[in-house]
Amino acid sequence: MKKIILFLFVFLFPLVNAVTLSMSPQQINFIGNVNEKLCEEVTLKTEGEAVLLGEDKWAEKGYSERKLKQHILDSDELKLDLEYPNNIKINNNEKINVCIVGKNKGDYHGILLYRVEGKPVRVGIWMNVSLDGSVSKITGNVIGEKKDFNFFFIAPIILLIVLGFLLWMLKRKGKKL
Amino acid sequence: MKKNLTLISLMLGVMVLISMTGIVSADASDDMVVKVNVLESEISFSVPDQVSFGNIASGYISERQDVDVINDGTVDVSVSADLSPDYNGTIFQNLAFRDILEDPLTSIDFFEVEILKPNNVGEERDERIYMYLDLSDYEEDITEMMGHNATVIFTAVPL
Repeated sequence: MKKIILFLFVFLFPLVNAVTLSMSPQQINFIGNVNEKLCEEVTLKTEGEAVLLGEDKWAEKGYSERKLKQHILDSDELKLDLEYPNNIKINNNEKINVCIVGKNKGDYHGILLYRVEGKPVRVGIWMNVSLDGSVSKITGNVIGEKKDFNFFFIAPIILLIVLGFLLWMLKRKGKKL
Repeated sequence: MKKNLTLISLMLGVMVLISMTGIVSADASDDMVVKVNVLESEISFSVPDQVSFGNIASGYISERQDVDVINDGTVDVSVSADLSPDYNGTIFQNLAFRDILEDPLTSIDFFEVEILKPNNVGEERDERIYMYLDLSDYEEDITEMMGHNATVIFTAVPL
């Protein structure tokens, strides 16, 4: 009997499970003006259904290093108004909107953290805020598909049509002769 | 005869023209199209949801518990640990970690470990950390508490 109980305990009740949480992108940038509402999209992923709890933390104005323990301020201490779901039920995958309105110009560095309710994992993405455009705008090269019209691709078709037309002309001329 | 010659020379001329321009468009510019799926950077990690230290008493240090932290995202991360704010006891404030077995113990308040991204997209990188409950310097009297527990939150942020 004891062996059966031990078997059930060991094999049927695995106590340790891994909990996974994902967020992307790794950083979001809000660049704009004071009192302007700036929004970015963030993707949250879990395995199956889960309730996620969100929070944000900020560093002193002007600090921009990626040190979590230096981010201890609340957004209202910096007069930043943030909008995002702080309690959200998701099933595998969800896109959320994160919006921010700032009252004072300057550069701010924050972290948006999400945790699976009742579980030990929490994941964060960095937030860079630059109001009044005091830092350089982010630029990027766009690699586009080559779309210019290729004349040489249809040239043989045109020539074949011309050839057909000439042959028809010759045939017609031959009949007349 | 003359008619046939004209016809043949005309056809030959057209064929030469076709071969010069090229039917396959790649010959026109010698371009090669390369394609790739570029994924958005993702922070993703997992930890076990339970660790048990068994029996312990004041003045002792627990057995080592191995915890596998997995980075299955696409960026290097820094992982730290905190006790849940809901915990108001004192026992688990003595949690300590080691990243390398030879290193001294680091209190939960100061523990931080860097886990690099996996070598390839879609793979995972496993980092083993060592967890202890160190009551060797615990001075308060402990009343018996069976199944005493707290939630430790592991936080991963991009490096």
